[in-house]
Amino acid sequence: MDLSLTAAQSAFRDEIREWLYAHVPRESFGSAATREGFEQHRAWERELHAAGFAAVHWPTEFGGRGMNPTATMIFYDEYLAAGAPDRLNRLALGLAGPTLINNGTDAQKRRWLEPMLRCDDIWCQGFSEPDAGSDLASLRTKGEVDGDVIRVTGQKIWTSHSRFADWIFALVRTDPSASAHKGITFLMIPRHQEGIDIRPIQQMNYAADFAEVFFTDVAVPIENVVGELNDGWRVAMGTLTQERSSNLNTAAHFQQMLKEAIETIPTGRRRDPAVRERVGRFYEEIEAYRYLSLRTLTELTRGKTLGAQSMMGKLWWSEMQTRILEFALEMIGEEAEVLRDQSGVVSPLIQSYWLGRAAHIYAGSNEIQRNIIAERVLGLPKG
Amino acid sequence: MDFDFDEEQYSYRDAVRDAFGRSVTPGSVREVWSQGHAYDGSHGRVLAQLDLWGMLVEERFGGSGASVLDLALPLEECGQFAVAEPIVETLVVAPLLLQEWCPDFPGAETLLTGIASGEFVVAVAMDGASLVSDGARADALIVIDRDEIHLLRTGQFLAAPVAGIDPSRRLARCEFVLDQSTLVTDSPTIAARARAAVMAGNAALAVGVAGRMCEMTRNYLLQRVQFGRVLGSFQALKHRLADVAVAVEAARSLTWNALYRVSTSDSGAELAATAAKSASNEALAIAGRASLQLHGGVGFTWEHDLHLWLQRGKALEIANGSASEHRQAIGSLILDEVDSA
Repeated sequence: MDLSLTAAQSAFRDEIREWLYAHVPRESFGSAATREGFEQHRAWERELHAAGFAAVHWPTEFGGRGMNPTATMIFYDEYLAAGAPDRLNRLALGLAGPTLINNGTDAQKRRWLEPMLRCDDIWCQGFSEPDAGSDLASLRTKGEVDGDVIRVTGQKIWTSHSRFADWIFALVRTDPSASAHKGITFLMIPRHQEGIDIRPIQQMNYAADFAEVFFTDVAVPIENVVGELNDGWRVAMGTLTQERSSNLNTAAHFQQMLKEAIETIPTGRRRDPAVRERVGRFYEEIEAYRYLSLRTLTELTRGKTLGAQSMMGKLWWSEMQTRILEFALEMIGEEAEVLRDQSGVVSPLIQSYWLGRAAHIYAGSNEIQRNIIAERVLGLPKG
Repeated sequence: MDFDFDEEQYSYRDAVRDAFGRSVTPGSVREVWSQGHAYDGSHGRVLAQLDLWGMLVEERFGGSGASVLDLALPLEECGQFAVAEPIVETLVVAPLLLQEWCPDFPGAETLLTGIASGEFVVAVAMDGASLVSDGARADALIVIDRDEIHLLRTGQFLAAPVAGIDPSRRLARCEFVLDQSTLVTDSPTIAARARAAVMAGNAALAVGVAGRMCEMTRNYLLQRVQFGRVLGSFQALKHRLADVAVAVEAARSLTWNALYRVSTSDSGAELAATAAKSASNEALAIAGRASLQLHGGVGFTWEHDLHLWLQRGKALEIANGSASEHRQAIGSLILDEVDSA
């Protein structure tokens, strides 16, 4: 155990720090949900890629630096401290990319990985369906093998970041006669083609980032299958493990959130022991998350089997985040009820708060997370 | 940056676990309970066979000169098996104080040699505490009082045995007078380090205790059948125990960090140890509530072993400050810093 940075790690940290200091835009970008904001984010992502910082732990030949997972944490600590823009292609960075690195053919990696980092291709996820949420294996979107294409028909839902997406990584049922987990295929579907209809869903947090995606006889080349035909469940489960140990939500991110929450405490309550106790508890929980994550990163770096704590990250941060945001709303008091300020801007805190509640549901609901912990960590039987 | 133990540290942990599995059985814990203040030293002899007493003591005093970090996993095991000795006080705090922080203290050599041979045990009274585990049995009492650390030998303090909720902690009400003759140091830095060592060490014991409660409950849920199914297949119970497992891993992560900071004399050690102690109190509370509830009536009996860990856990939770006190302290540190900036 050694928590100091190695010479190489501190050189790397200095390099990022200097680069970010020189390059992070002073003015904040527009929302990535608007065309203008999207292009600002994309231009920034291309700068990041050109400097070799887009995904430092990806292989060098695909635009990364071949560094170990711990380097990613060092990178994000600096990135967040510098107040750099939100990452744009999060589903590619966190899910589609790692899935390809682990399961893709050389041709697939060459085709898709680097364009992810340059944001030439923006990715969204097509897993959930109206009748397949927590019970993902009951998905029904049909994929019929027809010569060298797979014809996709069906419906996906809760697809986020779909507005500017170019690709959908999806699960389709290619063998309806096989048992639930056996007949599923992991398929990369180009978004801009005949037969795909995307309808945004107005969300209760005053945004419309989620969408329904309808497929009507969409022909997808069979070489877009990742892993083997009908082996998609295994491939997807690997992807979801990545999602659970996603390194985009770092302790530094929640530290920043706590800092902002502390700013909302009114002068008259800053010495209140009850308020101080809550702040102390948030600190403790964020630090616990930091060291839970660091254990997992160390295991990944050492190539060890991942321990119990690796299955707990998403459950931990999503519930902690809600408590921090609820605290901020409480501290703001009656003004927290105001939705739009005088210039009509929707309260970012209210939006974050409700979006934080979505984090209890997405990426495997927290009830599913508890099932996983009970079954895989504690060895209790499936109910 | 590497946050895990090495092969050697894991294999030593395994050796300790094997030895405790054979010798520190729940039956032996009950025996120690029944002896109360007339304890015969049986658990201490197991520690001696493992050369645990002198782990931190330098070789010239008969120890093995290991680091605090080498003790992190063995300390968890001591909690897992409810070892009934003043482990943190004797194994961790005393050697750090007399070797690293204040190496010139007169009489240190005798004490360290006695610790390494398993002959002497040490007790600690921190921040105004008068109820001290093993206070009446200790050969030396270390008192951490604000910025000062004092060391009192047998005869320099009064210790009246008290019946505690966990008789194997052999609680005693201690009275003493602190003056120049007992003073070891008045360095605030060293006092902070000592506080960190006490809290981080006890947090490691607490993680072991909470982990054992989780494991016992898991085993019970797998064995007990109601409504024609094992209890462990009911989701309400699975979810409750999952929350225990999460609290244990969170506390474990913070405790490893705190012990690392203690071992490197990091200036952030006290803050890290405060967070670790608070999280381990939380883990004890969550594990204690869930394990007694999920065991049902049988867990409430004297005959079942669960209560040995429940009462040890409650005692550790009470010692060195509650989660709420520690969180207030951390919150005050943060807000005072923000507000003075």
